[in-house]
Amino acid sequence: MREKLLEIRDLKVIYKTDEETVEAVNNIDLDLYKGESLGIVGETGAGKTTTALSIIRLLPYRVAKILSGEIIFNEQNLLELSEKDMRKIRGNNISMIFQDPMSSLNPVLTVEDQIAEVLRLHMDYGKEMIKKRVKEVLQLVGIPHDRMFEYPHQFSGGMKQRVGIAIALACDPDLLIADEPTTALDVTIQAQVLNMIDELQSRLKTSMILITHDLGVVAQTCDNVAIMYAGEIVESGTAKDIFEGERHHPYTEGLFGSIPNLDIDEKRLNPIQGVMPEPSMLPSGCRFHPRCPHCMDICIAESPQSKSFDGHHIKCHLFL
Amino acid sequence: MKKIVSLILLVLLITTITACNQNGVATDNDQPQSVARTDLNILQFGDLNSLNPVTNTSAFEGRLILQMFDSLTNTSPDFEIEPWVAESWDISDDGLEYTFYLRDDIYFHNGEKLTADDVVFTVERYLESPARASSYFPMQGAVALDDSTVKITMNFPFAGTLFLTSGLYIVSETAYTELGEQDFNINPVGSGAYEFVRWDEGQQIVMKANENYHLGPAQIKDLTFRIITDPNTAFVALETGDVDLYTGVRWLDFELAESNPNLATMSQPGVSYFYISINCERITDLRIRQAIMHAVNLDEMNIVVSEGSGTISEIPVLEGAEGYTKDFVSYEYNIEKAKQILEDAGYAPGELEYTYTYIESATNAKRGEYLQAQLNRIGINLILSPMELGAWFSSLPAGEYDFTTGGLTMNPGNTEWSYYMMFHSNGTFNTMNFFTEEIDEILDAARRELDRDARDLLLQQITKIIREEALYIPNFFTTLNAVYDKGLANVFINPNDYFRVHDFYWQE
Amino acid sequence: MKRYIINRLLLLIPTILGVTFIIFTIMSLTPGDPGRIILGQGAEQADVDQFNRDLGLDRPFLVRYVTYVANAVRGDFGLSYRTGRPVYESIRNRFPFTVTLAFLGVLGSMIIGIPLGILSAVKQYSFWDILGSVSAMFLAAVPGFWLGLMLILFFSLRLGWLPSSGVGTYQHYIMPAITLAIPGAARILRLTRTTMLETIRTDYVRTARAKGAKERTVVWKHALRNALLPIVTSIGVSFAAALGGTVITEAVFALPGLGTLVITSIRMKDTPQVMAAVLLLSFLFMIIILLIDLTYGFIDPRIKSMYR
Ligand SMILES: Nc1ncnc2c1ncn2[C@@H]1O[C@H](COP(=O)(O)OP(=O)(O)OP(=O)(O)O)[C@@H](O)[C@H]1O
Ligand SMILES: [Mg+2]
Repeated sequence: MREKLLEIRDLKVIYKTDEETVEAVNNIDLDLYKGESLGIVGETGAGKTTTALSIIRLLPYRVAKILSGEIIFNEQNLLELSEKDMRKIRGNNISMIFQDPMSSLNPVLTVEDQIAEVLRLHMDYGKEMIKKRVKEVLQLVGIPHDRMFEYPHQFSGGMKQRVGIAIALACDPDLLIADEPTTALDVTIQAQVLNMIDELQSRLKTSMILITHDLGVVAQTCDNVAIMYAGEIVESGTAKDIFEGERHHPYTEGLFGSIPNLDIDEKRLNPIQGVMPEPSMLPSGCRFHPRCPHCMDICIAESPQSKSFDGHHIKCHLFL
Repeated sequence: MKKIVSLILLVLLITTITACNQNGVATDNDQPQSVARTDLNILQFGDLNSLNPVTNTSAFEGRLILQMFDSLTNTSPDFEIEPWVAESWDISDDGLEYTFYLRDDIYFHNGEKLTADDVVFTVERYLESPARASSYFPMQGAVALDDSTVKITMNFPFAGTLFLTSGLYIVSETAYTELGEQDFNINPVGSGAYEFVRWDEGQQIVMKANENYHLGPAQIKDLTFRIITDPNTAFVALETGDVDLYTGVRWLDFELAESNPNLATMSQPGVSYFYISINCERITDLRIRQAIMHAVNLDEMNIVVSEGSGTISEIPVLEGAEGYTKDFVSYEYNIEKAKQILEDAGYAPGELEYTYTYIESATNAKRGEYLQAQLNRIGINLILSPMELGAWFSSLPAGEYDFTTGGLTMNPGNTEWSYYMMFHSNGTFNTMNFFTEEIDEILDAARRELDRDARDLLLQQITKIIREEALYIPNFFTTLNAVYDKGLANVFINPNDYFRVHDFYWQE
Repeated sequence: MKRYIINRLLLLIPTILGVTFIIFTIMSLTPGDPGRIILGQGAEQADVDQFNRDLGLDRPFLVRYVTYVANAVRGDFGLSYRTGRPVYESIRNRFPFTVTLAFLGVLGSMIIGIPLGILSAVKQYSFWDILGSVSAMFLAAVPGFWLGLMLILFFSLRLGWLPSSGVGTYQHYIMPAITLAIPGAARILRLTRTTMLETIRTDYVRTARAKGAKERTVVWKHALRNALLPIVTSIGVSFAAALGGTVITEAVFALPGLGTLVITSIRMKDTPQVMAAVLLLSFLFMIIILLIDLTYGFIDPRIKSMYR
């Protein structure tokens, strides 16, 4: 029996600056079940990070605003929690691995200190116990524990990301959000780190949201997939639905058409003709219509509803 | 976060303020006083070099030395010579030998008796000292005839001998030799009304009353000279009662003090005379100098330079002083006349150009600007050249100026000394460079003339000549403003800023 | 690390030699001689010359300079022309006041500047931030003597809470320290604000938040330490500057510090006294700069590893 861990309903997030208002996430719905992993795929600027930050409520203060929606985690709406209660969840029940390991670790604190901090915050451990646990998680991510007194600048990029993972896993979280954990790494190291994440996730039975541009990665790692475009989830379902299903959103099809050739070192996708619209000037109707090969009149006039085919959701007028 | 920080700041503020309030300084004015105070704080403008009468070089220090030492003779407030350490004296007929008979009840602060040997020792130190040599050169030496008799021999009959002995502050020979000059400079041992206690550099000089003083112990027991260099701070210290006596108060502050019910004020012409020297070796034509005299309005200059606080005088002596006469050439302010003189002498407007050098200061700059404007009106260009103290001193012997600032202490009872310095061709502060045999002869005669009236007449001649020849542009005598606590009684301050705290006391 | 320190200390020698040479040259080349200034306008030229000869001023410049350095190396800094006493005496008497004042002033600017700077950064665009920025701008422009006088007028004259001048109790230092602290505080406030604004936006600060750390921990432990480098530099430099630059504050509050001594000595052409004071100050200045550099190492391990 699948048990729901996280349920996002109708989430809308904007960034409001002096110059413009960016509709970064527009009324999205997402579900994540215990022990499972969800891949969120989309071009740069699609709103993936914004979604992730909304979950742990670390959106930039003042600029970002959650206009509507709820994020139910373990039966409580995170958006209604006080900052104090939310702090108890961060790093403990939900933890996050960030995009750039180079800058995500504090340069003036030892690795031990940075891992121990999260333990001190959430675990009722004594000094010895903390030390023991730090060694344990370092071992888990494959770093010899005699290096724990070193500073981040003494580690390579891949190792830094492992430290980031160690911090995230230290408290045995229920949900791990990995936001493009390998984008900033060398291609060879990317695979190592991803394999490790995949392996740890299934071993520890942690639920995971993996944010990436890379459909290949998703295919290899995730149980479920959500495709994001211009702040919307245009298609979602099991990995099987997405990779083997018959029906697809035209955008997803475009994505498949551009799975990078391994011979070409291509880090970002630009799968489809044209570029993603400026999020401050989104087009009317279906957001994808200016780039869509199947564009119809209705697509320009009306935003499509999402339609479910046995849990495989597609948001496109073609299927309505 | 916000709350915590503001709270911390608030707590900090409150604790500082209350802490200060609890054991803060109670000003003297707040406290009801049942018993009269016995301490006195006097403002001292600037730090000192030495408290040793032999080596000290500034008037600043003189008034401190006066409290701690006794001089052989004394100059009274009306500039008469009176006995002090010497009860009496004889002068030989040729005016070369002075025999002083000393009191036998004077003791130094170290307990030793003041004897003729100490006087001889002091004279010897004075004659050796480069700081004293320029004044004491007429003196040849001294011998002790017995324990309480000293004979001082002169190099030539000298009119001002007893003024010199009035500045001869007797040091303790034992203490001086024991300590050496260097240490004596900061640990003076005299026989005066106050005994040296402590000198906190840059901060204060502390003295206590000498209970064995030969004129009886002073009523004020603890005497402190507090060093403050900023005039604003000095005045606040007076208002808050941190100092009780402040002489040389600025005019601005003096007016404030006059309206303060807690303060007593006193204002009198001081002894410093200010003028602008004309370098007569460069401006040789008397007519130009006369034209310049007519171009300057002394009242206006007084207002511009010192807010009208100076006592205007065309001659460097005040009424009652040696050398004073009403009978001198006075140049009234008259621009047209000045122009006419120049025209008659054949100088075209703009033809004459001069420089005025002075020690850089706000007052001197105002003086310069005023002079510049006035000379401009009669067609003379004036270039202002402010200088640092050291540079200015160096410019004088070289005579590299047309005009320069002058200021000199004029001792009313001893005009001869100042006139000699200013006008004799051997004078050390002759910045007018007007050298004539006539002036030298009169001054040499005055120097040797022991008869006061005769000397007075000689000096009056000089007073006339210097105006006739228009050697300098007169300014004024500074005014000595003193402010002190109303409770302080029997305060007397000499025009030269000397006073004896021994006479002061607090009223109940 | 040890080698680094030794190297730096060795570097002091040529620097200090350079400083002495410059000061000595300036003191020698400016017109005016101590004899005339000290003995006064009434003294005979012969006496003045003798006085100057006694001080050895008739010898050529280089001879005097070399003699000075040779003596100084042996610890003999000479006698003051003005007082005829060893120069170290005045310095010993006055140095404590200057150091205390400079220290309190800098401490004050830190106590005011850093928290307010942090507050402004953390609550960017809030009332506190605007208040902080506006007052920083205002306070940086306030001349020291004016501020000092205003404080005296208010706290001494009006309220009678604090002594107006002199030294003796800790209360005597309150107003001078504030006078000295205010412009520094304004500077530190602005610097803290900008560097904090930068660090607070960094990824590792976000990581700290993602761990569930309290905002206070985030700011003080993670952001501040990283923002500290430029602030420490600025504080060190302010301290060094305060040592030499307390002249006005000293005058206004009648504090017997080094600043007044240097000024008086320069006016009196008292070369040995000026030299000794400037030597001490420049030595301290360089030691402070060295300490700042070492502090960097403690704050930032990346820099520490470079010292090896
Ligand atoms: N702090 C911010 N202020 C204003 N706009 C922002 C801010 N952060 C993100 N945005 C905008 O919101 C939109 C969504 O950004 P987001 O970072 O969520 O995209 P992403 O899908 O994570 O992209 P990437 O793959 O590049 O990480 C973008 O258009 C971005 O420019
Ligand atoms: Mg992103």
